[in-house]
Amino acid sequence: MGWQRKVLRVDLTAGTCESEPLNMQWAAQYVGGRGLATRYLVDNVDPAVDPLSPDNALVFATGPLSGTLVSTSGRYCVVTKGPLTGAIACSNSGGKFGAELKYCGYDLLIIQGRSEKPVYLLIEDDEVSLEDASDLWGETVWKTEETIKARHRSEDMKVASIGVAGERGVYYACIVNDLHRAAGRSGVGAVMGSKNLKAVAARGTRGVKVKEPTRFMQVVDEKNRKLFEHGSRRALMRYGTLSMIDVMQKFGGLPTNNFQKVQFEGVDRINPKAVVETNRNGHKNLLTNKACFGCTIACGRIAHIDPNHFSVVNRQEYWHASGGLEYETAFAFGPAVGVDDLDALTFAGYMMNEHGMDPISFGVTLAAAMELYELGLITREQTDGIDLRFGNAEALTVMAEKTGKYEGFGRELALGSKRLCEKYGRPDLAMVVKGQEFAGYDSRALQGMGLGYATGNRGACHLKHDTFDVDMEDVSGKGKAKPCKHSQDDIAAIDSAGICLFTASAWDLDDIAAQVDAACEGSWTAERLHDAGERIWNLERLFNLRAGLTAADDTLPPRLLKEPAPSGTAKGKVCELDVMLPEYYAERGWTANGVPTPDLLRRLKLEDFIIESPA
Amino acid sequence: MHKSLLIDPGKCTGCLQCEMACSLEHTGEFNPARSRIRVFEFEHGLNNVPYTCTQCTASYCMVACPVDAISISQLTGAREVADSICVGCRACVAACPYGTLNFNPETGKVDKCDLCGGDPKCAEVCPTDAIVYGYPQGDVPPGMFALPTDADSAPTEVH
Amino acid sequence: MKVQLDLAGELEGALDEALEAAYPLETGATLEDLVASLPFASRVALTSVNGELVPPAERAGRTLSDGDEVMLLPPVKGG
Repeated sequence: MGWQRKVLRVDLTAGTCESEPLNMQWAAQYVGGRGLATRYLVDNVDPAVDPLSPDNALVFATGPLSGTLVSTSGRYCVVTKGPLTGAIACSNSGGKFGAELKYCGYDLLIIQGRSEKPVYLLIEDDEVSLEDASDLWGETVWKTEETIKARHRSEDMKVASIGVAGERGVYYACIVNDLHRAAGRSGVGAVMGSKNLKAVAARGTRGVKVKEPTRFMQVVDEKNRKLFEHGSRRALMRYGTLSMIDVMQKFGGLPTNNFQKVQFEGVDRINPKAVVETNRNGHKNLLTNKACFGCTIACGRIAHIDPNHFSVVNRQEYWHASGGLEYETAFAFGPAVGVDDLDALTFAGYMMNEHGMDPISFGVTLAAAMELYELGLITREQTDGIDLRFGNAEALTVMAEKTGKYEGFGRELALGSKRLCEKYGRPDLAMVVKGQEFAGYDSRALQGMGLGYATGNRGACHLKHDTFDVDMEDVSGKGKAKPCKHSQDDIAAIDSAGICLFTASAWDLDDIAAQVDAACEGSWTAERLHDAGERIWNLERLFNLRAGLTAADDTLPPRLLKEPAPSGTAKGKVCELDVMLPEYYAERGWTANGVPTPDLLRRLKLEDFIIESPA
Repeated sequence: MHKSLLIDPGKCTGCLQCEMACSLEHTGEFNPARSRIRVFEFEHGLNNVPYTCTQCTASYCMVACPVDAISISQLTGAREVADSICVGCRACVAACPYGTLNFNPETGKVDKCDLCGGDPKCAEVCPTDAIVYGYPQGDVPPGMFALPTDADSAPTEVH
Repeated sequence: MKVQLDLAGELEGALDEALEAAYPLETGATLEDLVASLPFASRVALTSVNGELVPPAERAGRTLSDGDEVMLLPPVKGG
């Protein structure tokens, strides 16, 4: 109940697709989604492997609540060893694909090996096959989805695919499903490309059962009402995540020009007000909001680009509606690179979805390239004649497309900030942790965010901990370790249940546990979910330690540790990571070197993974 | 007068809660492939259109059925398929000009909307009121059916 | 006395523009009094007075003066 109790294992080297029973002992300990996928990854992949080699595995995972009436139940996770970071990658996506995979009868899909020729995986319940994708190789995500649906005459088929970026190993290539939802971060799309796997197409008719349907529906109704009436849901539905751009601007935590500044003068031209204004051509950017599968929040944005805009003039193929700006895309294509041209930002978003790239990593990489350019370390000859200064909208649109198509200077941007800045002699300018780019929150203003970034198991990430409340009460490192640790564990549990993090404003773990308990075997409480979250976090950490990462990787770039914020609430402050990190290790029960102790691992039933630390 | 499912695609966000609720009601599990209401999505999710049987007066399905498995519910006005009589010949599927009957390969019978016996679950769960179970005259914007009232014709300047 | 409010995010436009520019309060009113008087009090997460953060616990002890600039921001999550 809840779970489908089946795993689909695909060996691309051997060309086999076989199902096996789900390890229910692991399901009881790791719930599903992120947790269960991590457990299976650890069991199947040596942490030391080259992420782009056939020895790496790609695990798609749904949770026990995926495909049920619990709000936001369409989520799935992709877990693998990430090429961007060399650490464990865990990318989460919405849309409809995750639920469809579950309706095919599988909780998890494990992809191993490497196909000799390009293929896509076709899953129709028990009928699973590898289909020739030679004609799709080199195609965009949008074309791939359209072609596969047409080939199998099924509008109901859901497709997750990669574009040229994933095929060519752009370090932050993502996997896109349902045209504009993505397992976005850490380069999971490049792993898929390295396996010669163009797409996974799913159509399922296997229902999902729950333990106690009547109680389940009562609990779901109660929790849906709670979510529906919450102010955060209303704000998300009305403005999407974009409304935070004004909040961060006012607070002074909006990273601008590659984090040289924390406030952006052009914010009024890309904020929630701007997207609903009619421009001089009579064009309005935002059209409507859109829900992912099962979601009663509906924060997704559907927008369109002004046909008169330079990026699409005479290119009618981009005049249709598609995914619009959310906070992170607006940050990465806006303040991060100093651009305030709304249509240019929207076009860059289209490029990310069409070609399959992570907008955060692309934007922050472009920002680093712009700083290198302004310093004279990259010249106009190298940038295909594009003036790569901050604020140039054309640089944004052209480079987004070139990187997606892996052309010209786009091949340099494909490296990501870390590798690019190392190559041009200024590693300090890469705004990354463990090789992964920051999201749109400056660690000098949001100090707990800095700690969450530094200790993130997948590198810099704003979605694996939640210290917003304490961060906005006090701009210092004081008292941040505990909420950071606890929210990391809670979120690991939420990611494992198969629902969206955006329910967490209204729901605490008790609300989620009640729904898991009505759906799944066993007895589920908030405490049990939290413990599972802690187990998952530590197992991810252990994977990273075995992959060769150390406490030295739990750090931030010198800019955030040494250059004070030039304005805003945190004016004059740097991120006090030196205060927070030792407190955090202690809070976690790790050694001073950031290694989980044997006692802790025994308590978490992770005794098989004890690392005998020299310290 | 019978209530109807009043569908407003302009309010639909494409969340598919209706499909899940419908399948749970009729199959005991969450399985949108067996839902009797479907949401069609157009232009990258810009438009989402819930669609199901309108319980049309012509009742093409009922007329086409060779074994009289389809009848009209006195209570709700729904055209209902009696599983015990249906032989799965699919004549109704072919006859319906709206495409709202579906052959279910698992049961060998035909599925269609039965308004859940007067308590349609799709409308119950719809979070945006894109699907409402009610009387058309009471649920459409005034002006289309409603007679003008004194309030409508009162000059607004009075305030 | 009157204070100048600065609202952002989902709170923007929640008050009439003139009211936001000059919000009337009784002399001696605290930041807590101000927040409590707002129709959207439960959605106020962050408060600052003249650029200085005031945590929720300290709002009751922070007396406002005529002409103070008060910034009110809603809760932030994810994104």
